[in-house]
Amino acid sequence: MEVLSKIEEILLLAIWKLKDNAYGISIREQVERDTGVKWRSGAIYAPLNRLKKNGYVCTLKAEGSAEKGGRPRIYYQLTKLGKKKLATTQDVNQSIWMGVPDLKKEFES
Amino acid sequence: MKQNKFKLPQWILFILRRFADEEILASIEEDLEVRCAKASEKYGSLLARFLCYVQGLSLIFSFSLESFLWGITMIRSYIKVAFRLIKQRKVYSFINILGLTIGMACFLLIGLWVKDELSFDRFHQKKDRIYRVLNRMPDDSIEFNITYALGPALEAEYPEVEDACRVCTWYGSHVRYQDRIYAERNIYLSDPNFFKIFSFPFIKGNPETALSDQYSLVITEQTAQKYFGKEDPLGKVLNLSQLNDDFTVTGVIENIPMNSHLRFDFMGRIEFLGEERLARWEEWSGPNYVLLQPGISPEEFEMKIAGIYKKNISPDTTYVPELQPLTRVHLDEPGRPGRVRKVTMFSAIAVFILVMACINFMNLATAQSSRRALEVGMRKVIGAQRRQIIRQFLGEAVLIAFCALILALIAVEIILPYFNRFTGKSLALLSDANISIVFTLLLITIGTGILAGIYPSLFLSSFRPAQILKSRHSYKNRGGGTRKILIVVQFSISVGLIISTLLVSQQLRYIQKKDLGLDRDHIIGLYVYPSFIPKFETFKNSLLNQPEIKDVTSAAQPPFRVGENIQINWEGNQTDQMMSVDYTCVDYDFFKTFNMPILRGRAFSKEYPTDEKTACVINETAAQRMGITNPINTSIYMNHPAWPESFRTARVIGVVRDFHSRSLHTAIRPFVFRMYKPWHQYAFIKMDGSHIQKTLAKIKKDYKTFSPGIPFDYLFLDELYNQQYTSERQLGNLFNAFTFISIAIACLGLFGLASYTVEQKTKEIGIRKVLGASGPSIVAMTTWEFLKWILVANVIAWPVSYYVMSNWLQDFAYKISIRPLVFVLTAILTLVIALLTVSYHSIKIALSNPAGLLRYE
Repeated sequence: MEVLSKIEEILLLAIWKLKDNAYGISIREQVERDTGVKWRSGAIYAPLNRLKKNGYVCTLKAEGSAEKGGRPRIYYQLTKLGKKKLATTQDVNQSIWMGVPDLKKEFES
Repeated sequence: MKQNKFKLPQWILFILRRFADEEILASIEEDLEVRCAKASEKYGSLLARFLCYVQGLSLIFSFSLESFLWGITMIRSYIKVAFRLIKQRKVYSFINILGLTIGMACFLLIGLWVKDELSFDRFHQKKDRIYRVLNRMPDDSIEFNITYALGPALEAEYPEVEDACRVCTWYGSHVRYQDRIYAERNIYLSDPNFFKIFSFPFIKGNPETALSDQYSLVITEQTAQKYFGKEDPLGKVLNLSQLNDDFTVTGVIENIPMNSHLRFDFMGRIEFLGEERLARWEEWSGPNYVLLQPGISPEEFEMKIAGIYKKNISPDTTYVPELQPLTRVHLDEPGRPGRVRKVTMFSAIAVFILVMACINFMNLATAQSSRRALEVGMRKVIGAQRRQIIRQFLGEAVLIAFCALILALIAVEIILPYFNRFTGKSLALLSDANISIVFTLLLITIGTGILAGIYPSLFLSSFRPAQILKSRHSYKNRGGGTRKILIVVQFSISVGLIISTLLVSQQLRYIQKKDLGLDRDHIIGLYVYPSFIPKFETFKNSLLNQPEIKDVTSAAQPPFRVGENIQINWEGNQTDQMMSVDYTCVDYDFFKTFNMPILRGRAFSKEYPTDEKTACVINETAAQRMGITNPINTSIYMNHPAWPESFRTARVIGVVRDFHSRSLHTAIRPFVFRMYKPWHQYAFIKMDGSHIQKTLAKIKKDYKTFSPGIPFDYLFLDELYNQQYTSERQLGNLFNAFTFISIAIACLGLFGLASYTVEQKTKEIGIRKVLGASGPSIVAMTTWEFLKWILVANVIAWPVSYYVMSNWLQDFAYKISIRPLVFVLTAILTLVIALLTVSYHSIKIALSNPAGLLRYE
């Protein structure tokens, strides 16, 4: 089973955190909050596109919300596959970091 | 605040739509609008719009990069599938790859050869302005040996001519440096400006001044090495026996590249031919080259000089000068025709063979379509689009082409040394000059892949998934018509090549067996030193004491290697035209040695002391052209400038039977034999054919006592004769090889197709067998299906090859006639070959147990 790329992991987590409120802008803002840097649109939407194609996320159409000037807003949700993938990634991450002490302290001393 | 909505430009959306679906696009658009709104609060709307625009571009970049990476993953999957297929169907893949490899290797080899042929004389910097002047003769033939008076006249009278030079391929001479003597045959003479016109790079010496002294010589690096070793060749003195004079080496040039039509070891000054000969207008001595000023049109200049012979000879002369570009000289050599035809023929063969290999590929791929139809169906059901399937099959074809290419490259590397020996060239696959070949090759490979894969990919991708998956059978026999056409095309090519091969080899045999009118077996030509000629009689007598030696004579040239011609006039000439004749100088016993029968009169004889000065023997053609019934005792005037006046008039003492003094490309010309002894260069010794090596050793011993220190330089005349047809023999050999290859490729394809067809008919044959069909009838049924198309191919190829080959035979003045037997033989041959190829499968299936056949599913 292939490991998620970092950006895929970040995106999936952001969508999960946002729960029902995950749409384009909010996802980007969440990612920017999490990582602390600004992201180009391309860097977000190209992987998002891929996640959708791979079936890790699915979309929901919210009909004509007022603030959007009539255009339906697209909401994203994790699929079962996406959730499974994310869970595995957590395992993998934990085993990667297993036994690693606080590196900030470690390298300063 | 004014709401300033940002909208992505249509073209960016259009591109993004290729990669992402509408929902993602909606998110992107929304996001960008918000970003833009925020940014315009900070920076103002204009800058904000610009920034969002940049974001849009970055989106395209990100998405296309993404899709490219994905593309690679897909390609990996295609490659996997392709290799799996190769493994799965070993026979088909083997046939495919082998066929393509052979096709590409042939294409490469011939391509290298053709490229080399076309590269002749292109290394001269001024090649585009250099022309050789040819003469159109009254009988419309073209002669490149023209008058040496023309070059200087052109240079002096026409400002369009920047430079002109005359070149004489001089007969050989012995060359001596201190105690080293070698027999040299590649001595050229020319004007001092030769090296200004032609760019042969100098290693030592100055090209501008190298030939300014009459006794100067320019030699090649290789020659310098031979005579002087490591010493500095400049200023060294060489003695040329034919001129009996000393010459100083004033320049050394790099060894002459193989693709130069001017090939010399020594270059001296042309003045040694004598002023009278150089100034004479009506004498066909050698080639003239002119260098035109930049921007001069050769056609216009040709018009301008058209009347030059009329002006200088007489108003009713019909010779017309023509200009031949330097780069065409090698391909269009008058008197040695067929070079261009050979190049086009071989290019055609190369393309044919490659096309045949591609046809195999297409045939097998379409034939397998029913097997792969299921795969295509599955792919389509899962969501593959038509263009994806096309891409997959094209990709597979290109992949196989690349496999074939790599194998072909290895094969060519291995074959090339043999090929070079075969063709007498020094071709290299990857040399500086052939960098472009690398690119051509890649293009060819991709092209071959696409060419071979385009039909199957279009064909297969057109399947409708529902139908395929429902019932495969309706697709089984699709594409059968195209396959048959392709088989016919392949076999037409093979049949054409077989017919050509048979005819070429027939003509070659004819040439070799042709009665030349003179003997050439067991005769050696011994290249002698001029100082040896006075001792020749004693040498001859001592040789004739030995029983193995039958005859000894001497002459200026071997009788079928005579290039000299001269205009003669004769007593009782009814016309005002002189006659152009070939001539050579011979000794007593010449006609006896070569077994040339004297039809009238007598041969040269010691009983008539005047023979040496004033007698001549002519051939039948000359006698006929002179229009005199009994030419004996007729006076002939041969105005040769190099001869003393007393030698120039001669009486005819005999008429010799016609013989072939030139190659069989040209008709027999009038010929005159004289006895002018100072020109004798060869001793001809006829042996009885027993103990050749022993006899040779004896001759050598004798010769060494008569001329010590001179190399014993001899050649067998039959070998020399065969050398004239090297080009034809190469043609014959290559034809044999390529015909064999083309048949092999065609058979490979047939074999593959037969196995497929038989497999398709397994059930039918099983049922037939159950119903009582006999083995032979089943074999007949399955083979006839192919044989009939091969008959069609024969019928198509016959007229085409008849036309092409009768064209080729036009180059020979003496040729075979094309007989229908050749065509019948070819038909039988192809049928038998095809039968053998197909019968393997048909017999196998005919012998098998019907129960097994019916249960194969």
